Amino acid sequence: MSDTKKKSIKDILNFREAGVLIALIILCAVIGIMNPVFFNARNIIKILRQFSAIGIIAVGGGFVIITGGIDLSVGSFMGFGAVGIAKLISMGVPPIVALIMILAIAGMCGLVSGVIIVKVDLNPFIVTLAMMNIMSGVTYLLSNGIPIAFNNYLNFLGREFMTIPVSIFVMIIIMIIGHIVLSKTEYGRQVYAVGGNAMSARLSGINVDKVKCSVYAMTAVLAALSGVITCANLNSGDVSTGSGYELNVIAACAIGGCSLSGGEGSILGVFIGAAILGVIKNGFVLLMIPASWQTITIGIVIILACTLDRIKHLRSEG
Amino acid sequence: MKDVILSVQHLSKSFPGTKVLDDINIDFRRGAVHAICGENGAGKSTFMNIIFGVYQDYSGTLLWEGKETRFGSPLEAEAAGIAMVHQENSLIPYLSVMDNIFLGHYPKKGVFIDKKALKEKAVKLLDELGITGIAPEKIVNTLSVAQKQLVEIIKALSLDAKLLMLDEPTASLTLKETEYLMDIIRQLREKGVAIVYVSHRLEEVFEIADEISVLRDGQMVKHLDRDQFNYDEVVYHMIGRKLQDFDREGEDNRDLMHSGEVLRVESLCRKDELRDISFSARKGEVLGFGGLVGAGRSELMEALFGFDRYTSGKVYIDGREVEIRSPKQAIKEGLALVPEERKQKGIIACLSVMENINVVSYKDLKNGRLISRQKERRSAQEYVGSLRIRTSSIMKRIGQLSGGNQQKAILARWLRMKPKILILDEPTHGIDIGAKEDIYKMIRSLAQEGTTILLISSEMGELIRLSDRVIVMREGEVKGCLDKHEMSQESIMKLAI
Ligand SMILES: Nc1ncnc2c1ncn2[C@@H]1O[C@H](COP(=O)(O)OP(=O)(O)OP(=O)(O)O)[C@@H](O)[C@H]1O
Ligand SMILES: [Mg+2]
Repeated sequence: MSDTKKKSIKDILNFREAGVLIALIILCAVIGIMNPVFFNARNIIKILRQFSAIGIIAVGGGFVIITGGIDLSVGSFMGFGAVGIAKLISMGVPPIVALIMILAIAGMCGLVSGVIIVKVDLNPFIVTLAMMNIMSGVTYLLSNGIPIAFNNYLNFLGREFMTIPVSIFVMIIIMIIGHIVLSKTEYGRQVYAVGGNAMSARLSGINVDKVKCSVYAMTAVLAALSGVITCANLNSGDVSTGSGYELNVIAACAIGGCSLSGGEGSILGVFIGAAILGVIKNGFVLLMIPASWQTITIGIVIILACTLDRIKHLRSEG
Repeated sequence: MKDVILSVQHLSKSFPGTKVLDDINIDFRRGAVHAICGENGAGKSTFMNIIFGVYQDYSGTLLWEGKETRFGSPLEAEAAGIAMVHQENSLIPYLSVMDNIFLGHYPKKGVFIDKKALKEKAVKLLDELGITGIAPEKIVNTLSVAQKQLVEIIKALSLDAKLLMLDEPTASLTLKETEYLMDIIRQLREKGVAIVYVSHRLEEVFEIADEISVLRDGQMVKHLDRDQFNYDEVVYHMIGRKLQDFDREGEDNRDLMHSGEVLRVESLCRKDELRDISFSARKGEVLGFGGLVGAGRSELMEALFGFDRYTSGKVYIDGREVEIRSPKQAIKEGLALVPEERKQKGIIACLSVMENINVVSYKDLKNGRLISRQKERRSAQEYVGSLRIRTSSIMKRIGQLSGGNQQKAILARWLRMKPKILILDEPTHGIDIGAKEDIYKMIRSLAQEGTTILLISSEMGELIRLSDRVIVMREGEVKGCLDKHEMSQESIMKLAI
């Protein structure tokens, strides 16, 4: 009896994301001790809101990385989402229609990346790098570099509901859906199989091309959605929205245990990864440490997290 | 007694959670072939990998030429004069054959690679092994499995090692290549090279070995010198039980004459690899495919399964013409393929044994839209049990299983699917002799239940024993079809060459 109990405690500490979760807890504890304001409900909500933009996209980014790919275009899709929706609405398109259009266009463009990756057999790094340039050019064309005002009922996406920002709800809902899809559906298993060994996956009757295309399309949609939310929050669509986010998204996934060679990772890990990035940003502000140290720390955290994961991986037998 | 080149003393090795080698003591002598026999997962590959410097975290000592040594990497082991042919192919896919052979020890002119010498040396080595059909410039990726294995062997031979370790070198070779290899091994033995030989093909072991050590559950349980060799004893020590005799005729009540045709292939062609191939198979029939390496048997099966497209020809299943464009569609039509190349085309190394077994069957493992944790576990557990897959848990990554156990898991994947037509390309590749019997039994009972089986095997005994008819192929063409009573090693070889 005591034996089985012991085992279950060990099991709890042994789940894949335990390492990063412990890192996150320690990080919170250290910052909280140095500045107790950190643990204020308001501050925690603030952190969550700050990383919700990355968190939403990172769900897609996680899928992409698990299939063995990478997506560098998410930042410009986010900018496209923000500017595109503001532009459409300023042209008189009803907000809800504009939202659907923007998400659909982003999805189509993401699908194009996917199709090129599978049909021309180009490296996803190159294809999404190209797509990143194309989308940021398009965004610039739409706005001429000038922010476009955004005032309509979709602004609620950037507001609060029962004192909690709507973007947090959106992130949590998308995380939960992503988690269920990835871990509990046949499609999710196919995503892992494709990343683990595409040839075996194909011989096991999986439509590898379809799976790969789908993840790029999904990520583009999520990136655009994240852009819309940011736009709603700022009351304007700005070209600079989302710039540099692609690397934050990849960092969140890597910290959270997604293997860049594919086949491994989880949405829970991605969430923790995004949270670590958010906590570091917030903590450095609270502790009044210069921003340059913040980026240095993020760099170190990425390496530490991946090293820890690697060691755990080598040790683990299951 | 010949002098000892490597003496292994009190060697033990654990992976987290499992002890793989336990206090091994063994000597390897110059000019002798020392075979190591053992079940799948007994620890043979691990043992050789330790000597080769792949793992350093072991306890015990290695005395290499009398001096205590601990190789820090394969490079150090090679420098000391050790070469190894790995169980799984370790070639670099996008380099040429000659580059792969000489990688790490290129012939040089100053700082530059001596291209001419490189090619000459490669050609010489290929000739020595009697290999035709592999040009030194060929990119490894374009070779067949057996050809890759030959290149792997040549690569090890090119090192002129003092100790040569071969981990299942013949697993995908046919008779002819195997005989060449045996000749080479005899020559090397004459020259005083020490050879460690691991194979699940015991006839080979008895032919070539000077001594046999039997490894079971990580312990050396028996050592035999040539004059003490005894088949039954070796098998008994390997698997811990006696092998039951195969009783084919006993329970066979299939009536092939009257069972319907399930598969018919008419004039199938693919570029110049497959030429005008026609055959048919009945319900419950085991149709064997014989031929040499490069005869196009695997290519034919992959074309049938939709992995490669065929350029012309017709395929009928249950009398209905089907055009199979992808494996997905093939599976829908009731086909299953256990491919030859386990590492590239079979396993998904970073996923668990459970996921690897279930990957084609998730449809049956759902509750509503979601996968049922309980059903998928039960499904994997069932096959791990019935095929005796040796793993500490079904959640273990399949890449950490021994080669033979990986093969069993891939078999389980396709048996689980309960196909109408089961294509087996070297199904017992790397599987130990006890487990082979289990698999033969399983193949037979599937045939009894009405599954049509297309079987490729480079092991003549296996092919003859299991097949109802054998189709012999040569250079992409069907050369003949032999009935049960016409089948023999000679009749098959006659058509194959
Ligand atoms: N990297 C690893 N991590 C954990 N366990 C491992 C690892 N490599 C091997 N093992 C375990 O060690 C045991 C011995 O494996 P090994 O590959 O040496 O067997 P083998 O005798 O070569 O079998 P086979 O005949 O199937 O090739 C197996 O039970 C296997 O699961
Ligand atoms: Mg082995």
